[in-house]
Amino acid sequence: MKNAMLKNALVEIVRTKSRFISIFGILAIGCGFFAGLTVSENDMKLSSDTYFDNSRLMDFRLLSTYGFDEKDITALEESADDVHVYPAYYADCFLGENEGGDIVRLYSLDEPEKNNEYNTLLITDGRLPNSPDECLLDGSTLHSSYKIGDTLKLSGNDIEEDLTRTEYTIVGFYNSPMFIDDTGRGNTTIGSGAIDTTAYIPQENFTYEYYTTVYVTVDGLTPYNAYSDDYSDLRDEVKEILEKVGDERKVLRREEIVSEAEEELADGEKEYEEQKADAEKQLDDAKQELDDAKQQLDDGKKELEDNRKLLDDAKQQTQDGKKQLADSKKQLDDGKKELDDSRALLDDTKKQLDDAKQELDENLPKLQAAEKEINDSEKQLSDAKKQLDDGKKELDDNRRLLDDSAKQIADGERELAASKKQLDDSAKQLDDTEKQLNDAKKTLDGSKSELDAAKAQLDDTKAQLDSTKQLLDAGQAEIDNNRALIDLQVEQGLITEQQAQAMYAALNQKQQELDISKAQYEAGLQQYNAGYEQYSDGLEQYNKGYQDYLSGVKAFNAGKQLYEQGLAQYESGAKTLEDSRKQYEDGEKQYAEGLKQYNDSLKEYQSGLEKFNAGKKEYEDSLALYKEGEKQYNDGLKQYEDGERQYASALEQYNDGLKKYNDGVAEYEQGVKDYEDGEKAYSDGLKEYEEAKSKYDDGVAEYEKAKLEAEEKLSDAKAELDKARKEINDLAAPEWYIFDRTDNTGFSEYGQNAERIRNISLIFPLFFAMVAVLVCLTTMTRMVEEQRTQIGTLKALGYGSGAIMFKYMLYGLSAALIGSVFGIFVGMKIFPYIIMNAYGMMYELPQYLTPYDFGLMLLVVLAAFILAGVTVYFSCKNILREQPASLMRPKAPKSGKKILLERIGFIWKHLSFSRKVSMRNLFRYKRRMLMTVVGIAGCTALLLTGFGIYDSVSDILNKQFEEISLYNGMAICQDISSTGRRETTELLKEYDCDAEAVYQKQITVKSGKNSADANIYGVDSNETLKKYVDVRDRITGEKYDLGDDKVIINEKLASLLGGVKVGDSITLSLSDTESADAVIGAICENYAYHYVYISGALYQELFDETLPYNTFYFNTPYGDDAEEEWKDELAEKLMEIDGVAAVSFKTSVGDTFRQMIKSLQLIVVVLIVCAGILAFIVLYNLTNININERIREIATLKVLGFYDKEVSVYVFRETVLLTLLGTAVGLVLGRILLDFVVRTAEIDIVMFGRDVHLLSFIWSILLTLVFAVIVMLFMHRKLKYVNMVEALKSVE
Amino acid sequence: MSFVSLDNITKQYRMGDITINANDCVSFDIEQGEFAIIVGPSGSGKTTVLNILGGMDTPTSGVFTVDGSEISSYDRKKLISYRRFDIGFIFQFYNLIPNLTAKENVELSTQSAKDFIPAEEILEKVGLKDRMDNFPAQLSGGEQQRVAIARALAKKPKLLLCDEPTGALDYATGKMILALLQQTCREEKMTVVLVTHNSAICPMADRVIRMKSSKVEEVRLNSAPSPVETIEW
Repeated sequence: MKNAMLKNALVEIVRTKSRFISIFGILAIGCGFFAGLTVSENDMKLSSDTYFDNSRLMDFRLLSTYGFDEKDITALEESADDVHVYPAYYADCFLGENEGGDIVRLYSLDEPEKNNEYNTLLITDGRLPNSPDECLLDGSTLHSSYKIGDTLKLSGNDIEEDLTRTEYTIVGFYNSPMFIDDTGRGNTTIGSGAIDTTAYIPQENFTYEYYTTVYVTVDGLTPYNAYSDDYSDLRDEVKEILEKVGDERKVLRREEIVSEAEEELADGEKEYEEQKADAEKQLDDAKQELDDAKQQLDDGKKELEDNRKLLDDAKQQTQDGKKQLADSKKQLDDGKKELDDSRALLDDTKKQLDDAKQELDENLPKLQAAEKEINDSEKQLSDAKKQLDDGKKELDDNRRLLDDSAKQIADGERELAASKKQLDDSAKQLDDTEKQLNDAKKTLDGSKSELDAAKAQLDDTKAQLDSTKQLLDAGQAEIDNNRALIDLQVEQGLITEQQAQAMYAALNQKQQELDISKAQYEAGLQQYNAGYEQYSDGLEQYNKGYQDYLSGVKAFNAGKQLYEQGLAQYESGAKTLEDSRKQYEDGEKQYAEGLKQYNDSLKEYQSGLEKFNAGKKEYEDSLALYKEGEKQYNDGLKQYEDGERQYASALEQYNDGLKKYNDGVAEYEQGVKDYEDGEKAYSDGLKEYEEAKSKYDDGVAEYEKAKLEAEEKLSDAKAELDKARKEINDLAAPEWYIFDRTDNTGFSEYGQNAERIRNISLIFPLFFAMVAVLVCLTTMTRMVEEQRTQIGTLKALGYGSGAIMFKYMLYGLSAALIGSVFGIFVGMKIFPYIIMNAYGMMYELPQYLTPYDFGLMLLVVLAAFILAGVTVYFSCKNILREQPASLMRPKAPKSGKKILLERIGFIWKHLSFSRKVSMRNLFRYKRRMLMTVVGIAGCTALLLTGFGIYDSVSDILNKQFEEISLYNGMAICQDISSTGRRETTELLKEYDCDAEAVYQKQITVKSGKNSADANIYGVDSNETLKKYVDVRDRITGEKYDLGDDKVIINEKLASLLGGVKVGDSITLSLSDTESADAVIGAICENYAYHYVYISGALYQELFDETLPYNTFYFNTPYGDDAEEEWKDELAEKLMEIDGVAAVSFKTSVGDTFRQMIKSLQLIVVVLIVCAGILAFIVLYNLTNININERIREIATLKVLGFYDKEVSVYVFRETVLLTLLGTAVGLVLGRILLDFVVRTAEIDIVMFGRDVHLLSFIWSILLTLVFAVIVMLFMHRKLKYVNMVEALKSVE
Repeated sequence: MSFVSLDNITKQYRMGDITINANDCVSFDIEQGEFAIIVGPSGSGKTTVLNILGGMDTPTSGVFTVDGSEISSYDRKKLISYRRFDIGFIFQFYNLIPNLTAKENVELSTQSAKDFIPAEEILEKVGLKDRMDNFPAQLSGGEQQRVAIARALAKKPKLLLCDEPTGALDYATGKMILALLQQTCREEKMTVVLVTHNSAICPMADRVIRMKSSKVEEVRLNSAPSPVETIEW
């Protein structure tokens, strides 16, 4: 029996595969999702804990203000059994040769060539150091610019004192369990305050007297997960023990230090007294020696002064003699010069005179020749004049002759024109006449032809008349003959009278007719004669006209001959005239040439005359000049001879003076030599004295200095001793700090992130569980309904309810079991892996562990089981209660009923027929309606969440780096001098950058119990701030101004500080000792990091110092699109300036976030895939049920002749409506879900965008619809092949 | 040629390895305006013939024509149009759409017809003037069948096909429905083909086609059909 039922159930599963698969699928997704996300938290924690355990991450880290000595270590080691204590060193310094660069924390590798037993490093590349000058570098992405083999240079913070060497060769890279995150390496007291990277160097390099830190691991803690409560409880217990050790040790440690110091102090005081006495004695001896030297010096000085006076007198004498000699020399030189001048003058005069004489002699013959030439020219000119006058006369005669012939030609022309006119008139007359003649001829010819025609007619008439006449005559003759015959016959008696009478009558009749014809003939003859007469008249007239015409022709021919003679005459006259005119024109041309020749000759004559006159005048002037020159020459000669005599006497005087002067010079030179010898002797003495004096002064200074020094040293020593004493008295006990793992930000953030995933894992699966229940319920209910009859049969056959339900239970539970197990197995691997991969970009973990959590698995399978079981139970419950008989009958179809909408007439009436049907169907199956809406809404919500997360994160990039941060680059400075600052400003200006100095430092901001790390951002004015940051409200977009009394902070910081508001006061702590309260003036939009914007004035007021600018922000002329070469060049030049520590451009800062977004795409894809599966399952399942349930209805429609498309539309219209409704609900739901996810997933240093882009809404809607359309297309095929005959065959 | 003509219609169903002949060389004619009854025991293939006549099924071989068109050569699409415009179908279980009122059920078939009788008019004719706005569940069996007849007639079909129209009705109601069909045939000159296993009603038909074991056993013309009222069974 059982076997049959089991078989029945199994066959059922095979038969209804799609139904089984949909239950299986929804449960697989639901369970997989839930189990996967739930286990993710544990997997994350397990993966990291395994790493921590394997690398023996320290449980505690101890710091002390005095460091730790061996006794401290021993005390710690003895505090508990399972405690391992590892003393170690660390030091902070700058990377690179210059201070101000990135900060590195150096840790010690305790044993050579061996990894530390605690915080064991994972060597990702290279090897461990095996000599003291080698190191390992942090393998995180923070410092990718170094590679193995590079030298790590260190500087700053007196590192030379703490380390034996400052240069190390990098031999490997590591990941440390202490720093699983990528974002930071802790804080320090130097530089910007944030450690950028870490390195490990062999321990022997540290020169510290005490250990700087101690790491503690506890064996008892290892079994517990580092994030578990068990771990933290036990850890706190151990911590208490350690604290107790610390309390004891710090008192003891102080005592040790104090007693040691006291001893040292006593020694110091003793030494001080001894040294003081010694110094005083030495000083006194030196003083005595100095006084003796002073006496000797004074004596030497007096002797020198006497010698000086003697020398000065001798010097005066020599100087006087020298002056006299110079005067005489000058007089002699003057005289000599005068003499030379006179000589030269005389020579010049002589030469001039000779030149003049020669000139005069040359001019005389020239003058005589000129006179002769003038006379010849005069004669030539008068001849020419005469010739010209003759030419003139001839020309005038020609002119007169020409004028006469011109007049004659004009007359001839006039005559010719007159005769031409006459000829033209005659020609015209002739033409007229000819035309008249032609007309007349034509008329005559016309008359002639008319006449000929008339003649022909007349002749015809005549012929007719003649023939008529003949006929008439013949008739008459016949009559007559007949008459005669009759008469004859009568006579002969051949015929009777009576017969004859009748014959006569007939003949008379004929005679009468003949007479009439005769009369007609006569009339015709008469007509003919009249016509002929007319014709004769016409002919006569014609002949006369013709005669006239002939005489006219003759007259015309005579006229024409006359005209031709006249024309010939005219033409010969015209030719003659033409010849005369040509002759005249030649004459005129000849005359014009003669006139031109005459005028040229006249002009030539006149110019010759002018030249002649000019030559004549020149000659006369030359003659006068010659005479004057002759006179001057004679006067000059006389003067020259006088001068020559005067010069000779002066020369004699000069020679005497020169001799006297030479004697004086020899005398003077002897005097000078004597004086110089004296002077040399004196200066030697003086030098000797000064050397002695200098030596003495040095001695004195040395003495004073030594004395002062000694005194100072003594008093310093005294002060130091006093201070030491005071310090010893004031000495505080050392302070111990005990840190555990939670103080490591990476460690605790990772834990928080894991918990965030758990939060998300609660909401999604809840949703899927709901859908799963709905799917199971509707599917099972439908299945039971379909098998009503079968159930009835089974019941009738005597099976109990339990046995019947067994089949359905088996069906439902096996689907649930297989589905949930499958889902869990897949989900538990896939989801944690995806999530850890996504977090992998922020956390360095060596491996991802995704073990199966069988406890959870069992729990989920059980839940799925119960869920399916309860669902099946409820689906069967009602039907099993019915009687077999009623089960055998078809279930009364659900009666149709009016829906609410039908009562609203005006809407209902406007709906088309098929829409009405759809509306009614919608409300007919409420459960399915609900399920479709929920399923589709879920699909849309998941899609929107997926896209929304992507939007939120990409907004960080888009908004933070495109809209809010307006700067293009920044240069960070460390202890920069004012020169360096000026150089930086100038360099940036040279590159067309708009730069301003800003103060930026990481500080701690507190409000009540809450605190957060933020960047203080100090600017001199609001304008500077506006250049580099868009300070605005996220929602309203309102721009905020930075005032001098309040600070502006960003939104996320405000919420981290417990939701502080505008007007609240917050505490800004620059360091442990410097803090001040400030009032919030505005809260602005910001996505990455936190900022407190403060004005210089407020900073001054709060911290009592001007803004210590340490950063230059700048905007390049190319914005963010500057070329890499350009940026590199600028950065390089900036780095060359002393004090500039780092240069960065905004574009590279954004890259970190870009990477983060990439891994989020994976999550978006997962969500889209889940949404798609959800939509498919829900829609497919529902549509399938819908079709099965209404198969008769559909078959009926097909029988009624509905086309395939119409059937599909009829069925799917509801689905479409519900899909649209579900999509709308899903958008709202998705927005809420997204908000929850974003808030949960957000990390502290960033704020995700809160806006969902319009495009994401559109995509969510579109994808949902695409999923729906795909399902419908699939179902359309199914509908098309519904077998009508089969469906309508019978009612079960 | 006759109005309806079947020539050697054979229909085979393949069920696994076995081939079942539902119709085996079925041939008969029906003239326009005739009331034809196909009668035979269960499984004799009469419903298959009706389904083929109604374009719901296609013959494996053979030719049949209606009003000169060769329906047996129609493709799927053409068959739908044939059902839509030329055929009125009446089932044993009415096959009304439960979610539509009587009037809407009729409108369902008229909304796509080229020429039709308004729903109100035809419903009034079958005597359901007052029940027009009732859903099928609120009507008795006879009333439901009358709605089905109204739905079939409303689109003025060439052929009215009835598959055991009285099978689910009591005697009196069944008689009334048959009377309505006979009246429609006489008054509207409608060609009616009725399938039944009840040979007692044969006298009402103009033509009786007897089927047995998938074959036509006999075709008999009845020159004087009796009114339904006089027939007892």
